[in-house]
Amino acid sequence: MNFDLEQFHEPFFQESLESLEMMEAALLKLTQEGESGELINTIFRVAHSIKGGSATFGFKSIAEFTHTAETLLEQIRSGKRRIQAGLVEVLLKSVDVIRDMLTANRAQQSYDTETALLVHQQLHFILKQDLAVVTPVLANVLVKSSENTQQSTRAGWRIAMTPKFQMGHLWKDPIVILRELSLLGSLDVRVDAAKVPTLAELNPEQCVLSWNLMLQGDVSLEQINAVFDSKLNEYGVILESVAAKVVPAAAESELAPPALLAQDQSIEASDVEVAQLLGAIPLAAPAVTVTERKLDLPKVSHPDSSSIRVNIEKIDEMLNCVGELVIVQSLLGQLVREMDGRHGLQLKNILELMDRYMHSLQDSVMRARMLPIASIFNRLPRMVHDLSSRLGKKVELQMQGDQTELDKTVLEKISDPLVHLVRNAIDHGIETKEQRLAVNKKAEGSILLRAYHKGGNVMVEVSDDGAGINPDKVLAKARERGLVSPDAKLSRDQILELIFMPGFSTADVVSDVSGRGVGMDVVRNNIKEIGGHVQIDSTLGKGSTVLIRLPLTLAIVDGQFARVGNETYVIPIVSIVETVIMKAEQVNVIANKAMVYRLREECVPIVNLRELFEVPSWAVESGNTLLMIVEVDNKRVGLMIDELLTQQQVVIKNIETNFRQVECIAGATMLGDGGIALILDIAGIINCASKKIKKRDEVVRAE
Amino acid sequence: MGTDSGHAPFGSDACTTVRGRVALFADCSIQAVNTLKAHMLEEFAKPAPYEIDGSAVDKIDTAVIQVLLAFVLDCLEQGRDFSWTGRSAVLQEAIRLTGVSVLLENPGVSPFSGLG
Repeated sequence: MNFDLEQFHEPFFQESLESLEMMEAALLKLTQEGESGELINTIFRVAHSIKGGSATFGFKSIAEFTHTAETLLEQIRSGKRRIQAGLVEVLLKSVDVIRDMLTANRAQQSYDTETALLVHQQLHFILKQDLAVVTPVLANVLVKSSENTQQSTRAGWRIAMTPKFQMGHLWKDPIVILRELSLLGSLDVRVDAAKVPTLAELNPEQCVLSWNLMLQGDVSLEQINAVFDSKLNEYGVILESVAAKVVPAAAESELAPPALLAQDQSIEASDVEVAQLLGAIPLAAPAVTVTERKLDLPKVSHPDSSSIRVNIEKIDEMLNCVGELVIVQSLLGQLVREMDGRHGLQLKNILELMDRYMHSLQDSVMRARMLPIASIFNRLPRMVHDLSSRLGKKVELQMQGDQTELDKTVLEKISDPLVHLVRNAIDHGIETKEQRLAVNKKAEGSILLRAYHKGGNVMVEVSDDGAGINPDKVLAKARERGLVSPDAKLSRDQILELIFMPGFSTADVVSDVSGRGVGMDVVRNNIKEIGGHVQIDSTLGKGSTVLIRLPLTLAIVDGQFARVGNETYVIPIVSIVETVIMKAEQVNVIANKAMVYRLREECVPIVNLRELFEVPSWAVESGNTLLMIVEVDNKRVGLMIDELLTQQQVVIKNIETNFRQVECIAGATMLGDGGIALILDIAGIINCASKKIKKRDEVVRAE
Repeated sequence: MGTDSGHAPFGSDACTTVRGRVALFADCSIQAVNTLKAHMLEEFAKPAPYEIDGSAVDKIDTAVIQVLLAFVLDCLEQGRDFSWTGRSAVLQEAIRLTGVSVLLENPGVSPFSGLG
């Protein structure tokens, strides 16, 4: 039976990568808790499952590598070998290699073969040792990769090429491909023109020709792959090595796992190479290798049988549909409001019911996009393990609230900042064992990661019990760099805020200030990009806490609709402080011609949206102008608007995808009447306003 | 660009046809393929025999090879006579690489009979 195994590739990659996280966590636990049958079983099961799956799908190199790791794990499981730190290090490296192989195959890219071979050799080296003791030094043993390379001889390649895409969309024109192939060896070309229609019917941009090529010479798979620029699928390429004869080098045969050799013996050498390629690039008809093998489908583990995997694109599609439905509902609502009589009343009731279900549906879809923050937290123990070992520090990492859920997009965006903060905490926050003991702290430093819900946001805290930040040093450094004027008087919080300034991200600050420093501006920018906020608190000698506030989702926003001229804009409600009727006597033009509004005891810069977005002047209103006070990161501006309209949850549509990024605009949403309203980027507007004030200031000074 | 028989000239410089004659121009890339096709259809509406001149071609894509092939196959199918009056080295190489040499010939005419 010709069975398309390719459809199982993605689930296999996903599950294997998740299992690897389990394996990594279990290995790290082994180092902390010592040998435990349960942990070893978990680790073994993951390796076994990945090996089985990769062999099934023809990912031979992954199967081979994992087999070796599994053999070693089996020895540990059966008690033949004792766990030692060095061995765990090599197994952790193996996890990295398998992860790299899986990720590369998934993305149809090549993996780091040099490291893979190196770690593979280390595993073999351990397997050869009678001794149960593996020293940590082993982790750095280098074995030259060239010692075991396969020698191959072949007559050539049979290449079938049926370009699938329109000519204009192909990476290279087939003529170029054919020319480059002909340069590799002797090329015999057989064209199939059976599908060429009459000239009148021909769509010349559609490739109707296909080719059967015979490329003679000692040409490697990589060379052919390079000609197609790894886009074999685009050209519908099927490759077959002709009269191939793989001669394994002595060392390779010695090292090759017996089970895999036995399996390979049933496959033609040519197929082995084709299988390797199939592992990297899905081809049009890959049945050659996979169907000839009598293999079972992988035994996929289902930790929770009540859940299913759904591609995020499908969820997004649903969310989009829900957004459209909300618009249609709003249209319907407008019509119904104009209806009188019994039917009108009935329809209004039905519409209210529909509204309730619609909200429920929207919530459900949003929840489907949510993932526990554990998926990010779980990456950190390994990093803490590696970095603390390297720095010779003892660090305990505690995690709380790892089941707190966040939108997948938000999760992806906070991964790097979180890694950065934890790395900073170990590198610059936690003191060395000696320093800690000298100030009566326990030798082992502690980092606490916490996630929890608060007021419609998710809060993430990264705390350490390290040396804390010395505000005097921060202020001195800021003055030295001209970031604050020499006579400026700043509160402790304002001083700590200086750490997020770009000028602060330099190495010497890190060495001078026994706290944070490197890249905190980048961290803040990344968090700001997703509508979050970050602040720091620190006590000298006691430690620091970085608090991150994140929105639950990036896909939907509670919006306040506002009219400016004939345009409708959406302002995220979360940013709105209040809205007041503008009084002329409270508007002041300051020295640099910028306008500010005196609101009680505060002066708020005014942003004229009409001016900012160049709303036509004929739309000038004669009525009251409103000033909407908005705030982001403790900075406020007042937005001049003509009318406050409705409040509504809106689905954010990305305009960057179809147009380009627009300053001060976060996205767009569709209105009930089919029109489009732009969603304002408040942080961007505040930024823009302060830039304008600065610019005017410069002009005034110049004058 | 022009014609020697009073026919309307081509809209682009991809090729020029005269009555019974298709003269491929220098740039026979995919950008020119639809213009080429339209005018070959125009030529095909005229009575045979046809002459195809590819001597000026210095750039060619597979899309144009397909058009040439369709034209020639139409001729063969309907028993219309055609011949090649010239092929540039670039065109000749493209024909060789794509393996269509035999298909582009008129079996009733010896290859390049008109080339002198």
